[in-house]
This record gives sequence, C-alpha cells and structure tokens, in this order.
Amino acid sequence: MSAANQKPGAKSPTILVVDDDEDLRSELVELFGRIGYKVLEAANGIEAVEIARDKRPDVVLMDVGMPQLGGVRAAEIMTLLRHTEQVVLMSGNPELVAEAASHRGLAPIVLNKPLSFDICRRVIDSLAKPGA
Amino acid sequence: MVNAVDMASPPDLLSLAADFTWRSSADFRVEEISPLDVGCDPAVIQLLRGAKLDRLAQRTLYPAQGEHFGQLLGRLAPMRDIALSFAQRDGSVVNFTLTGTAGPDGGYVGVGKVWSGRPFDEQHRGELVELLERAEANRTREMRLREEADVLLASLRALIQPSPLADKCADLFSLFARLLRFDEALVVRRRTRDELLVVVATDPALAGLKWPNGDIISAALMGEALVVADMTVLREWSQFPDSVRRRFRNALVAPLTIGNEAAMLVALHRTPGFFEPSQLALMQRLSLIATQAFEVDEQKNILINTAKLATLGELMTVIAHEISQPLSVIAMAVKNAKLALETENERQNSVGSAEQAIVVAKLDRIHDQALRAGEIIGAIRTLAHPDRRTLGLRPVSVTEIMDNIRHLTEGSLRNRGIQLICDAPPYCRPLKANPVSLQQVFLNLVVNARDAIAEYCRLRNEPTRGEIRISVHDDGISDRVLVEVRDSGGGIPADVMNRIFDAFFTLKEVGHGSGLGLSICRTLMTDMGGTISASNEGNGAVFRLEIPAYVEEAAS
Repeated sequence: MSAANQKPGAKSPTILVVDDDEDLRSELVELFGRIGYKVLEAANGIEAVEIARDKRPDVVLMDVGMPQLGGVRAAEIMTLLRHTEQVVLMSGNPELVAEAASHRGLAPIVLNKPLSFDICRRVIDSLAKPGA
Repeated sequence: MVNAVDMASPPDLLSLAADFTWRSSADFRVEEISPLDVGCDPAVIQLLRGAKLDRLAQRTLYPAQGEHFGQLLGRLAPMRDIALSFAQRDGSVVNFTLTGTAGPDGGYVGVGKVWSGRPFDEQHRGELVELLERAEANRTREMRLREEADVLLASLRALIQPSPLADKCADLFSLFARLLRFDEALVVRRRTRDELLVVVATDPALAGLKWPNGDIISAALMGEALVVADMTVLREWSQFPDSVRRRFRNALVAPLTIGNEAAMLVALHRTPGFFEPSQLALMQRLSLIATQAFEVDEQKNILINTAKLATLGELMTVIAHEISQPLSVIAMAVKNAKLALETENERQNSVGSAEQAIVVAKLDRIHDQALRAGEIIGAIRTLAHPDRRTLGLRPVSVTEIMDNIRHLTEGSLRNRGIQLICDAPPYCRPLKANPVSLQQVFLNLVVNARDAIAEYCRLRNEPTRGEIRISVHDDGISDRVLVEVRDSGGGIPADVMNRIFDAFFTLKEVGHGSGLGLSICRTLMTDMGGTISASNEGNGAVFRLEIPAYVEEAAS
C-alpha cells in the first residue's frame, strides 16, 4: 500500500479531525497527513464549528461524545451553515447516534468505535475525492 | 286411717324394692304419696303429689314403657310397671316406675321406684350419648382449632420478624411441632439440575443432606401433600443415608414453592403410621407459611440481584467506552508506524529487510488484535444496553450474528472443550430483526448451553466435552426463518420445562445465574415479532427461534 497515492499537482483535500481525546486525534492527524490530506484539528465541537467556518474543510471526521458541544449538534450547525459538505461521525453506539441524528434531519455516516483505519479511510476518500 | 299399703298392697307389690307408696282416686289423681326410703328422690315425690297420672303420662319425656296409660285406663285393669321419665329444670332426668292395683274406693294403690341415671328409652339414650360425644368432639376440635390458630398467628408474627431465614425457619418449625408433634422437620429444595438438598432442618445433622429422587419428590412436585405411613416401602428408601433410615419411618410431606422452584416441607417421625391423613390440610397450611418465609428471603435476593445487574450494566458501559478509546489509539498508532515504515522503504526504493517484514507483520497483528478486542467490547456494550432493542427493525444477516457470537464465546467454549457449530444454508434471506437483540438472544442460548454441558459432564465425573449447534432453516417461502440452538447438556428436567422462561428461574448454582437470561430472550423475541420455545431432543435441549424474514418494502 502506498502512502502518498495522490496525483501530483492535484489540490490535496482538507479534512478536519475533531476528537477530545488527544492521543486518538494526533494519530488520526498523522495518518491522514500520510495519505495526502491537508489536516485540520479541533478538540471539541465549538472549536470545530469555528475552524469549519474559517477553513471550509472538504470532510469533517468528528467524535460524538465531546464536552461543551457534542458531535451531533456540531454536525447539525455545520450542515445548516454549509460550512462543509460532509460530516462523518465516530461513536461507540453508531445506531443510537444515527437515530439521534435522523431526529435532527441529518443522515451522517457513523463509524463504529474502536475505529478501523482502513474502513475510515475508504469512507473519507470516497467523500473527499469523488473523482479518485 | 288404715295404712293403705298394708291394706291395699298385695305382698307381691311390696316385695319390690319400692321407694315410695302411692294412692290415687278413681280419676287418677294422686291423693297420697309417701317415701319409704330416706334416699328417695324428693323431686319425684313433689312431681307426683296431687298430679293426675293420665296428664302426667302426656307430659312424660319419653313414651311410657309397658302398657299405654290410655289403654290401661280404658280397661281399668291393674297397672303394672308403668315407667315414666321426666326432664327437670336443671336438665337432669327423673325416672320412676309405678306399679299398682285397683283400690277399694275405685282408685288405685301401689308402690313406685325411682331410678337414677339415664332415661329409660334406650333409643333416645343412644341419641343423647351421641350428642354428648359430639359435644365432646366439638370441644376437642375447638381446642385444636384454637391451638392451630394460635400457632398460625404466632407463625405469621415470626414471619414478619426481620430475622435471617435460618432463625425464622427455626421459629416456625418449633411452632409447627406443637401441632404436628413430629420428631424432626426439614425443607428440601432443588439446588441444581439434579440435586435435592435439605436446606433447613430442625436437626442440624440433617441439614445439607442429599435427598434421593423418587416417589416423595415426584408427588410433591405435582403439588400434592401426602402421608407416607411407612417409608420403608418407598422406592428410594435404600438411597436414604443410614442416619435417616435408623431414625425415621413415617413422613408427612407438603409441596412448597420457593420463587418459581418447587420444593417441599417434610415432617418426620420414628413411628410408622404416626401421622394421619387428617393432618394433610394442616400441613399444607403450614407449608404455605414456610413458603412465605422463603419467598420474603427470595425477594430480598432478587432485589439485590437486580441492583447488582443495574450496576453491572452501568459499569460495562463505562468500561466499554473507556477501553474502546485506547484501543482505537493503539490501532491508529500501529497503522501510523506501518505507514512510516512503508514511506521509508518507498523513499529508498527497496522492499525492506527481512526483519522489517517481520516488524510489519507484527504491527498488522497488533492492529488486528486491537480491533478484535474492540469488537468484543462492542458486543459487551450492546448487552449492557437493553434499551437499544427499541430501535427499529432492519434487515440482519444471520451469518453475521453467528460470527459475532463465535467471537464472543470462542475463548470460553474452547477452554471447556465444547464445539460451536454454525450451520446456515448458503443462501438465507435476511431477518427482520434488531441485530443487537438477536445477538443477545443467541448469546444467552449459547452461554446457557455451555453451562448445561459443563454441569452435565461434572455430575458424570467426565471431562467436559460437548457440542452446541446453531442451525438455520430457511424454506424461502414462509414469512419466518427457523433457527435452532441445540446442545448435548442432558436436556431440561421435565418438571421445570414450563418455568424456564420465567424471570429469576435458574438451574444454575446459586450466585451463578441471574435467572434472567431466558426471560430476556423471550421478551426480545416477542418485541421483534418472533417466538422462542424449548424442548428436549436426544441428549440435550433444543431452543427453537422463529424470526420474521425481511421483506423489501417495494416487494410487499
């Protein structure tokens, strides 16, 4: 598997990684950096909403259970304000989250925690690089 | 005045041991009566003085013996041995006989004798005796009932004491002893699948005794109270330990229900035939009280169990969350390390050394194991969250569920030498179910099967070995898919078959099963529109699940 499989010259897609767990966040940041993403990070929902407003990432990968502003609420705000096109949530209870999100008119992709990076990457790639 | 007796009584009259003499006028009025004996009952004299004999005859308590007065009067014949009985105000009875003959002035003269004791009429005497006996019996019965009531009341008082079960039982037994007069009494209870144990006894030496299976327990399980006049005729007599066979011959048995589990109260006595069938009703009442004692205790345990379960559930959720986070980090970090190695190789345009290949393989293994641990954690979490079953039903692949179950149980089954065989047709329609609920049902059944097999082998002193087979049958036509979970654990005892789905019913050792598993299974299955049933087949139990097949909305 090649680490940098991105076409030279193409603008690298931007991903915003949001998780209150610093260890997990830094690993994810590193991983997406390795596979050719421009990576932004945030430690909670409020930060995430601010960064998304300023930087307009292509994809947001966000934990659900976070202090201050949770992932579902943050996703709702970002989607409503059109700060980003795509939000992918991570949760240990994907069904509960999907249920909660659908009550708010959202249909986000919810990944099961613990995360498998291969699955995560496939999902993010398909969203951020529609042509790839 | 001439002495009437001397003058009028023929010697044959006087030869009777008379108590008094009498003389009446022609119209039978007693004009003169005098006692001959000081012991003569004055009541009789009083009764007869001035009385008209024909009237007297009408008022007599019992019809006169001998000739009827009326006939007698009609013939004016001599009176002989007219026996009369009168009831007196104080309830006693006066009896006397009159013997007489026609007197000189158209009246009669004669003697009389007073008889003490019972009235003359034998038939009525029988009735009286019977009445007396009945009154006596009633008095005894009343005494007995009063004592019973006393004991029952005292038992109830003992019941509501906040004392531990053992003390409560000791109190109850000593009260029951007043009524039943047994030598010893005990409560027998099914502990595990096959063992009946004496859990409480008046004699500590009997507690913990293993009670043999046989006639007594079968009858008790049928809900019957019984008297065993002589225990030596029982099939199981030879299986009783010597300590019992030496001491007891007679038993009084009543069924007892502890929670949902059948047990029995047994009173023992050394003399064959000591207990009577009339004591059965009483015994049954006492067993009801004993049941209450156990019930109260059981309720307490259930409360504790429920509290424990709730705490356990919360704990699991917390642990699952706390562990899944670091597991994610491990998986990601390993991935990063691997990618770093690959980048390095790419830069140098090499495939890397053999050692590097080993490192990569190890990293892959760490990554996969971390994810596997994560899956297990996830499965545990779904168990701890029964509310999730309220989420909607969706298409579920039964093979996927079976894979999950395999993941979760693999370790514990392998340790016990039990094989899990999953059997599904190559094509099987998806089920319309909640995956979490379904997984929980499967898991419960597999875990139960595992424990049944282990217990079965333990009782047989064999090394644990067995097979659990999950087989899926889909005929593709009906609206349901059938899943069977069968084990080789010896099956479910027939007498508890109808209670296994009850909450808090368990065949496992105390402390090993909550008794909730199958009850939860049934709830979950019902919620999903499916059914669950159990039976015994071959060498084990079979649980049959019918789960609705998923039908595409458009197709329907």
